[in-house]
Amino acid sequence: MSTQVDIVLDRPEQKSEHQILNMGPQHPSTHGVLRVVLELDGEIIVKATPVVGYLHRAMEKLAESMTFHMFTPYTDRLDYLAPLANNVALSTAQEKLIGIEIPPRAQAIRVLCTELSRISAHLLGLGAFAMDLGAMTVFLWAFREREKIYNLIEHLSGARFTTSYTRVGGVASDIPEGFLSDLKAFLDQFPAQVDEFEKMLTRNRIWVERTKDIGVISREDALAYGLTGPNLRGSGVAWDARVKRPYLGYERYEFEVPVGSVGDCFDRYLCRVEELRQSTSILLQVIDKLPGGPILAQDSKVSLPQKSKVLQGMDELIHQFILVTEGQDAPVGESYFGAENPKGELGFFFRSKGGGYPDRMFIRSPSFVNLQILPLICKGRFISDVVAILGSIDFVMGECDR
Amino acid sequence: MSTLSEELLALAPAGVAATPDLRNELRFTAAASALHGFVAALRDKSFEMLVYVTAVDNYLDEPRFEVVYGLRSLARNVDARIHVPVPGEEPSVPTVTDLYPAANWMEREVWDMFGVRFEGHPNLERILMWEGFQGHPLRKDYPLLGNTPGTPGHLGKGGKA
Repeated sequence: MSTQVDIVLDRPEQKSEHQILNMGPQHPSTHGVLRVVLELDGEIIVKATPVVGYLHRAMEKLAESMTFHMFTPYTDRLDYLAPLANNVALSTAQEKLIGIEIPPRAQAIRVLCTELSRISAHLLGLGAFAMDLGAMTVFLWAFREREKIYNLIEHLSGARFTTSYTRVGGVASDIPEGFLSDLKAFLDQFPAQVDEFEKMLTRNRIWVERTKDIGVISREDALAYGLTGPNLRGSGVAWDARVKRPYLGYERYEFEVPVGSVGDCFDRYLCRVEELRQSTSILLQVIDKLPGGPILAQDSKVSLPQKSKVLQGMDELIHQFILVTEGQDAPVGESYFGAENPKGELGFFFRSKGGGYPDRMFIRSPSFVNLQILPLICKGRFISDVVAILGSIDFVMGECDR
Repeated sequence: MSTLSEELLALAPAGVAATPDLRNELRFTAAASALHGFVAALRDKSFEMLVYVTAVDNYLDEPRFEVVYGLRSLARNVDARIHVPVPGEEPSVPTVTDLYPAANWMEREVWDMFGVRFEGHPNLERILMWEGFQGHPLRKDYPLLGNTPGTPGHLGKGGKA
């Protein structure tokens, strides 16, 4: 969060026609507290400098004095549009460090969580993107669908936003009665809604003119700038961790990875719309194939015992006490795991010196890395294009600033 | 995995060693002087993506810091991690921004949080903390309690907030 605007204003050549415009941190199209310092020549952008850090909460520092379970609620506040997917990414990374396998039912529930979050996050991304370019209806429709998803998430985890649903070794509670039929009912009507969104936008002349050939990211630039998620796939790179290095049993589900050709805002939009359909298909397969069995790893040194047993059994009480006070005993060493989240690759790097507290935890945040390309693709465009570009990159500042 | 490791080591300048990690992932330890050459060699061997740059503070041990680079090859579908030990006194490593533009913000974050300098970086300024902030918060010796004068929310007494 450096005050670059002062530096720019001090320049002697600033007496020329170039003008400085501060976009944000309170601008509605910056989706949170991003500030973009625009250096303008008339309405053309000479230089765009994103300024981040307004939402920095020192999460990595906090994690150093917390057991593995204690950090889970903080991930709800990373990408706050997909809290369930963050919970899943964190727990899967912790399990990789500790070195345990989770039961098939827990895996399937986690896939369900991730894909439900993906739909919800993409809906907000699309809705806000469309609203910034003046298509208010799509925004309202997207929020209507999101509301249904939040009702489902509340049914599943007990909370709408702050879910904290996963545990090391599995998930906190089993799927409640009636949830799957509600989810099925939602999924049955959802593809028709996606078609409606597309009817409003994909061939809408205003939409196409404002997104086509705007903010073009070439394949080479996308890779060099480390983009992940739909932003990378929009530029024609068919990289999806769910397919390339399957985790949580993603190899059991059939789905396609949409890839763009040009890498403009329109391609990124199309990729997200198609991912809505693919996630719907994955969710339907999860419902069909949902295995039975336990929802937590049957390893009493790692996963919490059932509460009903804790109140009756001595062993379970001891294990619960140790796990809550001291945490899981992680091996000495380090590991990195990156999950394919709605915004891109959310990775966790752990360095452990043994014991229940990580010595260092690093969060590889997709929004932080994706935002870096902004100066490159804004240069030479109009101010109004910045709004389209910001919408198409689809970032969340909670995750960017950590 | 080990054959790939040997193949990549053959390209490496002196000062690079393979040090497999806990989950047997591709991991190298490189001297700061060998870093830039090694990363350039990896980039030419289809490691086209820099996924992350971070650091670890081994407080009270020497070398105190480790700068960690995560590289990815999409064609081979493999990740490589490079650890660069850096001394606690005036820590610095060469920048890789000329090889990967993505390193720009990532290195700024490591400078901001750990105070490791990246020689040759085009714009090594704080990124998450504000300009004028004192200290580097992710260092282990950064105090967890109390306020620094001049920070927002400071109560004026230097005590606990």
